[in-house]
Amino acid sequence: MDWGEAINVLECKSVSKWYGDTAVLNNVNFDLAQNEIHAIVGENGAGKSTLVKIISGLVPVDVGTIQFEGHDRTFAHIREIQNSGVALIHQEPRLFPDLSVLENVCVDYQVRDKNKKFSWKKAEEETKELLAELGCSFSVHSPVKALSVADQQMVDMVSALRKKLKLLIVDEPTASLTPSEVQRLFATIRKLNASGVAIIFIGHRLEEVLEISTRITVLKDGEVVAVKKTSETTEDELIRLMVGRNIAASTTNSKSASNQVSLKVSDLESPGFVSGVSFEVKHGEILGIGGLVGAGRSELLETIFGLRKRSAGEVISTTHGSIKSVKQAISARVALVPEDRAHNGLFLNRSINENLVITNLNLSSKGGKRNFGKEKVIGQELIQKFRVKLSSATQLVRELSGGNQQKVSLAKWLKQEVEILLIDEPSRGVDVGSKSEIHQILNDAAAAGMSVVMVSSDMRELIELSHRIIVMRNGRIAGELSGSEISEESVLRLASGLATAGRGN
Amino acid sequence: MSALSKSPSRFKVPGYLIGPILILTLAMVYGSLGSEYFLQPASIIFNTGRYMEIGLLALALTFVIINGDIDLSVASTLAASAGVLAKLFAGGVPIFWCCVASVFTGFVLGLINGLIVIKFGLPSLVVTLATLALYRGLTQVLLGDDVVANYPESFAGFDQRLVIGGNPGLPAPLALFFVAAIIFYYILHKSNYGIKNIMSGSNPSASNFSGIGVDRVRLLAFALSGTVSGICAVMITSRLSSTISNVGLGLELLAITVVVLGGTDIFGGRGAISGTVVSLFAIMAVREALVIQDVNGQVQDSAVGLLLILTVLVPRIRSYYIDKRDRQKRFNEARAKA
Amino acid sequence: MAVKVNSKISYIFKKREFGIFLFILILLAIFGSIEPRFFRSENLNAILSSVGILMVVGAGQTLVIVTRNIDLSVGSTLGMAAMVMGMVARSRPDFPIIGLILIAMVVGGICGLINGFLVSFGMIPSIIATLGTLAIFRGAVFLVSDNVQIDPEDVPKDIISLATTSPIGIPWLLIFALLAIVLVWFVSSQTLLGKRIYAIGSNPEGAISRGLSFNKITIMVFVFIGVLAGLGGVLYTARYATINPADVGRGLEFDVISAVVIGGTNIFGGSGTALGTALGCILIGILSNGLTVVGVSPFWKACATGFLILLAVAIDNLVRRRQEENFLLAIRNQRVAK
Repeated sequence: MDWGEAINVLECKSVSKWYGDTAVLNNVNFDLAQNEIHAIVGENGAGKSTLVKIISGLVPVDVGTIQFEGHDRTFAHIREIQNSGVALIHQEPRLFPDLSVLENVCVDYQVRDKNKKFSWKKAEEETKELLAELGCSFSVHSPVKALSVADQQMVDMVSALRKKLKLLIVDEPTASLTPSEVQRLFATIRKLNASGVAIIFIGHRLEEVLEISTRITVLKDGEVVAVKKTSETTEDELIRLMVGRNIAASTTNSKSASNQVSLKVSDLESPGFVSGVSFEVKHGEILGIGGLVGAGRSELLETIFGLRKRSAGEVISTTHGSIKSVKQAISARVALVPEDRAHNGLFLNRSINENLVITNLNLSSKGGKRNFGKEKVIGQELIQKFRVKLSSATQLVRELSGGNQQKVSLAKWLKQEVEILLIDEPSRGVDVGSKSEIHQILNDAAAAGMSVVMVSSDMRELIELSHRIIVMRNGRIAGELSGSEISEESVLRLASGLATAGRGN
Repeated sequence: MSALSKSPSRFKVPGYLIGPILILTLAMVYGSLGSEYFLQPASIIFNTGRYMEIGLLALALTFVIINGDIDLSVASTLAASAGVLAKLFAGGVPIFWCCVASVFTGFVLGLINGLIVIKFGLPSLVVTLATLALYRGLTQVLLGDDVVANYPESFAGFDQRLVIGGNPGLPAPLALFFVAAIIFYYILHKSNYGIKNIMSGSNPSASNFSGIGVDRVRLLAFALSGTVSGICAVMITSRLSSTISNVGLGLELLAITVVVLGGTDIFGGRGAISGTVVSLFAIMAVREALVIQDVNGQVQDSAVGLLLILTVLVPRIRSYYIDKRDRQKRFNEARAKA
Repeated sequence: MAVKVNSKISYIFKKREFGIFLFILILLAIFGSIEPRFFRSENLNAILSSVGILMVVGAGQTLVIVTRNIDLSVGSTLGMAAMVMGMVARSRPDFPIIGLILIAMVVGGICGLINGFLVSFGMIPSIIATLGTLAIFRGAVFLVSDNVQIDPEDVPKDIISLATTSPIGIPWLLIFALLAIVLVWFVSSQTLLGKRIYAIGSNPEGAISRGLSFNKITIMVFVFIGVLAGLGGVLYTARYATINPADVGRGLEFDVISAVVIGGTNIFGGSGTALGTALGCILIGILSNGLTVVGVSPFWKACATGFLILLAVAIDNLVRRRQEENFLLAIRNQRVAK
């Protein structure tokens, strides 16, 4: 390799990691030279965030070794790793909202040298310098909560810079940024790299990845598919590498959905997240919603369900009329299975049965009085029907595996008649077996006439299940795909804002 | 498959009851060592009057705390309701209607708490801190320095009445408390409202996503708390046979202690009526046992405070070390695999 | 664009204390116009003296609440410190004043240390821990004093003179109060430790991941308020000259927390200023004094305080919510627009 005298800052060899029975990373080799900006791309679930968590010490490896600057760091504690010059910048910066920029940066200052006492003046000067270098114009005294996400990221970076930085990992930093903020971020990254900091860049937007990186590793299903020099590859090639499966337009698509519309959304607008969205769903149809992180997909579902304030537009169920609130949505037989089941979908510290019955107590109760016998029966039926694996009757939901938790999250709505199911990431954090069971459930439901609106970042899932796919980008609908138009490439292209190569929109 | 249908055949004492039961037992032993009359029913149950008032407040407070709120104003609501009762009585209104007014006042004041918390989206700690002052002020404005007494014979002395006669019989406050406990147990553990209440405290966000009207649940809990305070106002007026403006001062702290000692999580989502009930009797036993030993009232409070801290401390430290041990085990297993 | 947004917002933030200040001026104007005696220097001095104790303890409570904790036991801590100091003074009339003050502060500090340990290593929520120690310390006051109060004759004249004599025109009591406020202001705005204290309240998980020593800082904050409560005990003795085991410091926690909340400290932690607390104390003092001077029955004081708390918190909430909404909207519209 003609990298000149570059030293490898990081070397990961044969890294593998299992979550339960699933191999999230399989025999991954990854190395990073000091002077490179190395991007990692791959679909959701490809293993990017796990790899990054391992490198930054948040999660231990199961198999393999990690060498940092020649030293073995396979089992290092997170504090050790941070102190050796590795920093991780999240999408959501970990800052103190009530403190000013300067205070945020200085708060963990450690007095290393007895002669060098802390001085606010000096710290202020240094911070101002750093901010200026990064192209930031806000005052060091502004309270952090008054800054935009992009500016907060900059503060995060400055905090990291005050320690001697050797490796910087930026994980999906551009999701909430405007184009000019992205350019500012890139300029910062290049400057850092020029001064000797190695950079790992995780991104979804391929045009950005091609712009900023010098080398790209493509992950797919936990394995390294390719490592390419950025100058030697194109977006098309990347997409093909990321995707490269032959997924037949789904066999289930042969079941035609009916032509009757069950839900009509017109000009829906939720300030800042959803803008001018209109579409229809038919009975028995699975409508997939694709798009990149930050496109507004989850927010769309939440707005339809009545959880998010809507500033314009209408949601009309053909059987029940206009839906404006959660209560109306539920009466209209609409259900929402949210993306974040731990926070929004389930009551982790409560029993499985309680979680199952809570969405409609009327099924088992009479006059406000609960009937535990009936609840047990309902619970049993659901557990059987959805094949939820549990070890005891009184188990708490948090003790279940991800797949079984998701089944509970789904079952609790499907116990009653649902006309329109809004489901967000049906198989996130779910093992392979449960995933196929959940897919079967969705297919069966659609075959029986239910309309399913499904948000998914899992390309395979999206394509295999959906009759039709609408792709979102920046809060709007970028395009609609149906029949032969549906392919991973076409979805990714619409999501990234590229023209679908010649195929009809 | 039919795992759910297997009901646990062995009776297991829930973890949160262990502490209160232990305290109750030890206190009873300690008390009987101090006096041979301690465990005799006659000497216990006629003292129950003021404890049952606190017990009722605690029962209602359990609901408020389980669903994630707190009500610091219960004692002040009680006072204001008692003030209304006294003022009306002094004005010549028949005692029955005065009592009705007291309960109604409690209901309204509780409702106001709920409305302020919900409509303005303010933390219940601060709102009920404010109404603690506001409602006490209301009482002071109503009564000033006056002492209202001369309550009719038929009304006073509630705590001495027997519902079931005989020796020792069942005093009215005790009966009332048991009836209330049964009703509250029913509401919390057997009714739709109860499960909604628990879930709202366990995860407010998921409750919204599940269609539980969290606002309504909270409002009802506050209204219930206020109403019960109004009822207690009647009880306390009858027991003391007089009303002054600082009636019930400081009861809120004791009520909260009863609830927390009984295993209810101060942050919500977890708790049981049985815990509150056993906790009340445990505290009563401790205090009475100390009274026998001629211990000062303040020191009695200290003992209760100490028990409160221990009851919360011990399980937490235990679960911390268990978690730590589990994490270490998992880390070692992962390491061994590599 | 970012700069404009920042300057606008920092202006609004400054407004908070200014708002209270304005309100104080308005009250002064109202009271003064109804009763000109209000403005006499003796009266203003009396106001400031009465809030002196409040300010000393309030300064400490500010930091406690900033860290997302609360200390309900300050009244009992003050009582404990005062009682121990009083007993030493009584048995050794020649004991140096400085020594007495130090003893009080050390006793307070020990109480604070206990609280700090319970909350940090014991992992007990501070509301429960200090609810327990409120009772425990109060009982300790009784045990230590054998329920015998300290009479004015037992208190050294030099201590009492703290409330009355003035080295530079304002009584020592007030000087201590202002010193406490200035100290908290200094720590919170000028030192790293202060920033860490606010960081812990602003984002506890973030604080841990940034490597801040959570437990150490929490204990420090509780010890600090303990020491200040001890000092408050000295000032209390100076002002009232009698230390009664039942009365000393009783109910102080309510007044202190009210002042801190009215002064703009957020009950959820992360923000709050010493200046705001000082203004809150002054506001409460003016209100209470003013009502008396003007001739309104003192019974309205509680109502007024409660109302003030609600007003303060409601305004805070509305302002904060509107700021956030406008701000987030502007940012997000940018994003969707592209």
